[in-house]
Amino acid sequence: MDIILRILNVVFSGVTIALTVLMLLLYFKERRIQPRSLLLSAGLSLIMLFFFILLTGARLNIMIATALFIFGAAFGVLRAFFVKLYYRDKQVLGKYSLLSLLGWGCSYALAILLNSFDSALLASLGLAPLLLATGTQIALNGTLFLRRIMMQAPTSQAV
Amino acid sequence: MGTRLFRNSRGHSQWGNRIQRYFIIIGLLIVLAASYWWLVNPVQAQSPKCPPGFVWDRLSAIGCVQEDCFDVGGYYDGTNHCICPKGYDMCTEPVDYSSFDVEQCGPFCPDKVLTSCVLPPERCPSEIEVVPPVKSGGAGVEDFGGEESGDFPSSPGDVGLPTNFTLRQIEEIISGPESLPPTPARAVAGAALTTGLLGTWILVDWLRQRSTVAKEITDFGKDGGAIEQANLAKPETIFESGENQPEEDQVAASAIDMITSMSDMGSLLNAEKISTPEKNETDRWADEFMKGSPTEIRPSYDEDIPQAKASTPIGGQFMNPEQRVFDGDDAIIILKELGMVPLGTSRTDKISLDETGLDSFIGASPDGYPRQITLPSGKTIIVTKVEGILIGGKDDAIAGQNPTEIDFSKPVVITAELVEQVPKPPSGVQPTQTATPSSKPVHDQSTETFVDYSESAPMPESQNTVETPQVEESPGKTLSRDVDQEQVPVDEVDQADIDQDLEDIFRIDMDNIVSNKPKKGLVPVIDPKTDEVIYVTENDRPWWEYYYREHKKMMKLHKEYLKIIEELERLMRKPQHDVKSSSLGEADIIGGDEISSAIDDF
Repeated sequence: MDIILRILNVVFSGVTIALTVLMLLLYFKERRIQPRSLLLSAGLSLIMLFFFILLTGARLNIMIATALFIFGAAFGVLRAFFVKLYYRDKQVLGKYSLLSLLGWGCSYALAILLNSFDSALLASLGLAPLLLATGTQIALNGTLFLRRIMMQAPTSQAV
Repeated sequence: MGTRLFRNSRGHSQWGNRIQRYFIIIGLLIVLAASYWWLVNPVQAQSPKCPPGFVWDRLSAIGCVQEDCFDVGGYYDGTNHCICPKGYDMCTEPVDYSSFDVEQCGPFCPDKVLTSCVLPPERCPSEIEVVPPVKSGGAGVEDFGGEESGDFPSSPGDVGLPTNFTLRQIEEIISGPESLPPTPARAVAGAALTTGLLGTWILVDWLRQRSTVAKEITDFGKDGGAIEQANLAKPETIFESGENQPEEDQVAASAIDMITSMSDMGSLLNAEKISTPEKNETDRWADEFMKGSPTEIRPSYDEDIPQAKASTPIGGQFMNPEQRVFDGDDAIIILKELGMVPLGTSRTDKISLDETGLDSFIGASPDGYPRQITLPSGKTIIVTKVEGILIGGKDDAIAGQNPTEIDFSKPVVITAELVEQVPKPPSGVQPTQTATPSSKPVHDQSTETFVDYSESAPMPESQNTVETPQVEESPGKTLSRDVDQEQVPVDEVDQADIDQDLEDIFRIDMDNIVSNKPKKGLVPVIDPKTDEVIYVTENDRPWWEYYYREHKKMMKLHKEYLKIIEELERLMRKPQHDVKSSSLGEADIIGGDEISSAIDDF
């Protein structure tokens, strides 16, 4: 039974990688940036991390976890300022950071994979990049949300 | 404001999508939470008990750890298994479960217990009592590596205990004390949650994108492709209602449609076809009005115009079959044609009125209302009401005390009756509604046939249709053309004429207000003739945007018109019996020349 579950875990890891690639394809083009979507993304990232830790029982030293999260968040804020937001056709468009999305998806795949080795240490090590990437995602989306709601509509929309 | 309303007006389907999306996510979370309780929690809720000789150690990977490991000469490996030092053979015995319920330790139940470690070729104590006396763990550490180097071993495989010690330390630092590795079930649950949420997210996002595209396509069909007023960057496309009528017997009817559409080209009366934020706002007012009492929109013109404030604003839609209401830029256009406001008046302006101007505006002048005007496009409308917000008031204007202004930033609503001119159909075709005099005053500048929509044919409410008479077969009857207007052959209706017509309509002094380069105070618009960006004053921008839309519509309709004519001509060239069976009728169709001549009349 354990072997089956471990195999299943590896399969889920592969599925996560595939979904990440799919997500990259979806987010490859510029798209409409909506405040609601940004909040949803940030919230979902947080919820996923919370439930992942809750379900797997993997633990990471709180100091290390906090440091990683803050470091990731700092990177996310920095990255968010390099995302170009602009008006076109009365809509705010922009292109998401594919690198952070890729890192986030891969960190999940890695964490899932390391959880299958029956080692608390490996499980904890799997959480480290996940916390980093989740911090980045939340800060990135949060900062984009703030930028988006503070954006002023162009005075002339004729062209 | 208009944009917001525009979005709100589309809100129903978006809300549906949103609710659907949230339900998916909430449902997924509930399922996962339930699976957590069913699958994972029972394992966690158990308080594992170990068989005699073993103790529960959460720090270990195996759960039940042998108590007397050091006493029997062994040590704990990285997973807290009790093993023998390198070079020693392990002597084990099965764990006695005769007096212990295996359910209490579950997956953590050990199957063997280390009894001693022996150096080969020695045998296990049960056979020969030769066991190296190892008294304590500290001695073991020294014996198996610590004593030789004093440092951590270079290779974890060389010596077990120092490696074990290091891993434990690292594990405690990283994982924290009392951390357990995820059980396979929990790991799978976490993985399922992650992939499930991620997959849902992607699916919802993908569906949303698809629905957005589908909605745009649907709206394109519904709105006739009309785009918002300010959206000039994207070329406008017109929905073609006649495209799905390939049958030959409908060609004549299509031709009538097109001809009627051509008569509407550039017409300021086609407010129904214009989709602007203001228009949507107007539609909302109209909807509200339709729910209320009609009497609310009948202010008395014997009194001052601010009475209009007390009335429910109306506009944008047909209030009855023979009446339509203009507001915003459309109203200003008509006011301009009425000579009440100067060129370039925009919705942000306030126009000062003297007594004469005020009287003219509110209908107190001898002309009063209804007032019939003919727009440069040739359309005739009868203005029955003009409502607006007057600053000051009639009395002040007469007394010359306070400035009296019309505030165009507030709704200016003009109610007008449409005098629709419908050209006569070709031979063998006649409109259902014949030249019936309207109950309201209808001006006939020529001997053209008018269609009185108030009698039997309500104006269509669809935004992408044009008002056309129904066509029915009328064998044996020929309608002759008795119009003495200037006839313009079809092939001469070229772009220059259209441009000139539009320029006449809009009365834009191109030389004075157009610049090819950005200048302070000018805003960019698109010149529909060249599709290049030009710069005009802010006041003139609405006119240019309107000009752009109408130009595009006109060119599109013109092309369709030519196509229909070509199709008609092709039909005419067919053998006579084919033609007779068509909707064009039979009796008057003698030859292709006559028919072509009839077509040219249009």
